[in-house]
Amino acid sequence: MLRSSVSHKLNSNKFSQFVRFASTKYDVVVIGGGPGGYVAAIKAAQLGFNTACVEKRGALGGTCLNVGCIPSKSLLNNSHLYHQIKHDSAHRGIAINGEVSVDFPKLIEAKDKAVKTLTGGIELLFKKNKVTYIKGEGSFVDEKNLKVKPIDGGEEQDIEADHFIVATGSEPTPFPGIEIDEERIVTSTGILSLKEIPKRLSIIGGGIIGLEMASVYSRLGTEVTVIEFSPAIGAGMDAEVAKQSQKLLAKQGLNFKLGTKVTSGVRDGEVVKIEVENVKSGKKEELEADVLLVAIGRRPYTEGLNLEAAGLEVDNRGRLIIDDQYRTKHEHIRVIGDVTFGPMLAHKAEEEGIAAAEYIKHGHGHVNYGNIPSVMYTHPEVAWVGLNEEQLKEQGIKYKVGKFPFIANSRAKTNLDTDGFVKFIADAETQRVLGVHIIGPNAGEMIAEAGLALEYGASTEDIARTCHAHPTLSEAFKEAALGTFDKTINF
Amino acid sequence: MLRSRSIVRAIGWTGKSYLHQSVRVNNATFYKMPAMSPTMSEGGIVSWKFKPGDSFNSGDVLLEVETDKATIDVEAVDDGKLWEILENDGAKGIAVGKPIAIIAEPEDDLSTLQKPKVEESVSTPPVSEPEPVSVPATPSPAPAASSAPVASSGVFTTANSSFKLSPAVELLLHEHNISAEEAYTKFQASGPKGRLLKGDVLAGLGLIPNESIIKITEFIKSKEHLDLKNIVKAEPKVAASEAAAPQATKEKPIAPKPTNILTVDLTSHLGEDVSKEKFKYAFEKSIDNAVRQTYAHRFPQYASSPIASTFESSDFFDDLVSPSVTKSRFEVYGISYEFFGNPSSVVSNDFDDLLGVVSSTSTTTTTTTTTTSSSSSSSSVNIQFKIKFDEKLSDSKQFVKYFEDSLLSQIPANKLIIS
Repeated sequence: MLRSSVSHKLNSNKFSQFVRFASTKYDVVVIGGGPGGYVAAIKAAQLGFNTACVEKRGALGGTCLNVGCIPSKSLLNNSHLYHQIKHDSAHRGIAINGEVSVDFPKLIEAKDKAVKTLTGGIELLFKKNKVTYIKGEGSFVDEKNLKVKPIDGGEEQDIEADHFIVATGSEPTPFPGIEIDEERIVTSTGILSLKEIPKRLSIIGGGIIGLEMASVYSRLGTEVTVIEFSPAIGAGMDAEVAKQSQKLLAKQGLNFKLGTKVTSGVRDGEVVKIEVENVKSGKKEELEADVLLVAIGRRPYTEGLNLEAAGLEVDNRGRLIIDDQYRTKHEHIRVIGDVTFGPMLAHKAEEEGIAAAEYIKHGHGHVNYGNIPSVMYTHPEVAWVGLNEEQLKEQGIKYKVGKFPFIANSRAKTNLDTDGFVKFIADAETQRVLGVHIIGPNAGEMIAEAGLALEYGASTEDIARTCHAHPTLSEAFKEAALGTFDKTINF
Repeated sequence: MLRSRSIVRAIGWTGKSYLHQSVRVNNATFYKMPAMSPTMSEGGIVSWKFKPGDSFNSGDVLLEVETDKATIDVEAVDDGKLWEILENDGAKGIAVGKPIAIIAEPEDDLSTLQKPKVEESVSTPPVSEPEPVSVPATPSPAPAASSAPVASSGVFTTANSSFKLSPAVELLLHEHNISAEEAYTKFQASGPKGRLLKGDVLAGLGLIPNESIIKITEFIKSKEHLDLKNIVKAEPKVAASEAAAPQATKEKPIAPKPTNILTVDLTSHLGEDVSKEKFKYAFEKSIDNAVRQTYAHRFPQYASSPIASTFESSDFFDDLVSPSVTKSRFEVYGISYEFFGNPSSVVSNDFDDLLGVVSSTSTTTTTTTTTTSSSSSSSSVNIQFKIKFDEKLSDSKQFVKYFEDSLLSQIPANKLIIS
């Protein structure tokens, strides 16, 4: 009897998923299928909720997968390979007989293919975890109901849910007065799908997005100029690392205009005219470029969501207001990722997605905001996690710095890839790891070890006393840890 | 005895350490409500596992304590004898640190022993007693003395013996001839979920002060959560409009932790041929200038102050990464204008000169010199904006003061209210 009632329930669930009623009811509806949303949806389904995910892009994975992290990494990796084959092979004993050249449409195709397989992969994950994927634009009717307009033009669907997770992400912040056409004046989206390699590329913003794209096109032969308002690149990077990074990127041929503001940028036929002004001296200058990339940051995206109908509030920067359990003023509506507070990073959104689903199920969840790594995939890579020196100075906390350069690391040396260093910041008395800042080969992978150390409250001595394989780049990590309380061995 | 009481408070917990220390004093002692988690402030007693007069051994479950989160067994760390139960089974809402029983040494004769005096208030500092000597494993005297501010820190918990000791900890214990089992009971842990860290052992051995651990651990913990204090809601009209997000972001970004707000209300005459748009532009320009001058004044080495970027959209990179390395002292936001009279719709570059601003945007205006819609020269504008400054930074107020002066030197105001 028990069995029969269970199977009956299952059947009716199935029924409601496949037959369109006037209003379909779910336990959890996630709005947005980006890294935060799709992860939240899968987790919610795994926790036993009848879950749907509403996405209007037509593909899952959000900005990150479609027009962000993933495609840019494809371009970065392949342009790096090309550059290395062309300029960095002779002295390694590799002779190139014949011409090495870029097939740009093919380069873009390789990127598109990577994106397509990955977005398709999420759809499979949805099927596997029985998440209902609703392709359409979700818009609140009230705090319990969502109207979904299908992207393929079908009939509008009404959805009711006990819980909502809003994960609508962010979009590039426009530059006041500069009109984006995604052809000559582009955002991080347009720069990934240019028709040809531009001869001259100007970039407004010397942050991670700007510098990664600068690297891609500089390697492909473009003359790149990075215009940054503040006197340093890398927004939020350790000052020493930022300086080193700038030096190395400049050596690769990037032009930097720091402490410079853009006063105008207008398309004029097939070129873009940009006026800049030195913040300090007031000196004005006019630049010309074939493509202008506006990469000054991102802002929360809530278009079409009809927040007002649900009574949701935003702050003065457009971020949805939440409490420490991601709840809005309606307890059953939670918000995660770029559209609310905290760093706008895919992996932060993912963590929050898991936590939000767990809060719904168990009433508790966990994200450690003191341990969210940042990575810039230039060459060399830059990665950091935890606290930086400025924050500690502000607090009057005594700390020790341990540094180890890759030039003294055997693996880096054999790879002929020795730029950069590992920098540890540890509490002076307890050696507890407070922050790690890396510039160098494979920094983005290496930073994971630092995250683990932070999560477990490790001391630098713990790391220095942990066996690291030889010869690997990770030995530089161990040695830098050693440097905070003792002498390094190999430097 | 009394000394150990203050230590219990100092280290946030616990029955275990209390018992551990109590064996070294001669009189019977209070057994107090233990803090089972850093956030626990009160709890209930589910049941006592021993009756008055019973002796117990180290490791025995003394009682079951109930918090808002869970029911937890409280183990004895040392041998002892339960003399009297002060709070019986089922008692609820007992503040952490309140005596719940009186305990004695296992060999004590209860008929001759003196009971400790019950204190009404748990927060009353105990009558000081000379520090007992040679208690190697207890925290250094300093934290005991300064127990009051430290008590609520919640940094230390009982060491979780299910975690493997880290290499640095193992070596340190070895150097001091302390076994792992001993370490878990001897030292308080500041690591996540009761993990015993190198610093905890160093502090436990008296090699570094407890305060060092408390300070760094509290700072680390403060960064573990999103900063949701001081959220500035978007203006209602912005929220109501369809383009809530875009409009809201056009406002000035907000500093990470502003804790105080000034509202500035000023009225200024509009010169002839000054359009609303032009005035707004010039005014915001003046604010930016004033901000820059303020920082430049304080930090001449940053003549192009890094803070100034906060006021440009380039600072949105903050959202991509961790918060800005440079602490902003204050923030200007929520600027609203109200125009009176009949401001001109015609743009005049003279106004720039009036405000000492060099015009540099070419995108906004096509300058015409026709004065057909010529205006009354008596038009004026009322501007309101808010300044938020970070009280935690000692020099914020100076910054704000300098900023106000700088701004007023650029804007001819005939009415000014700062509240």
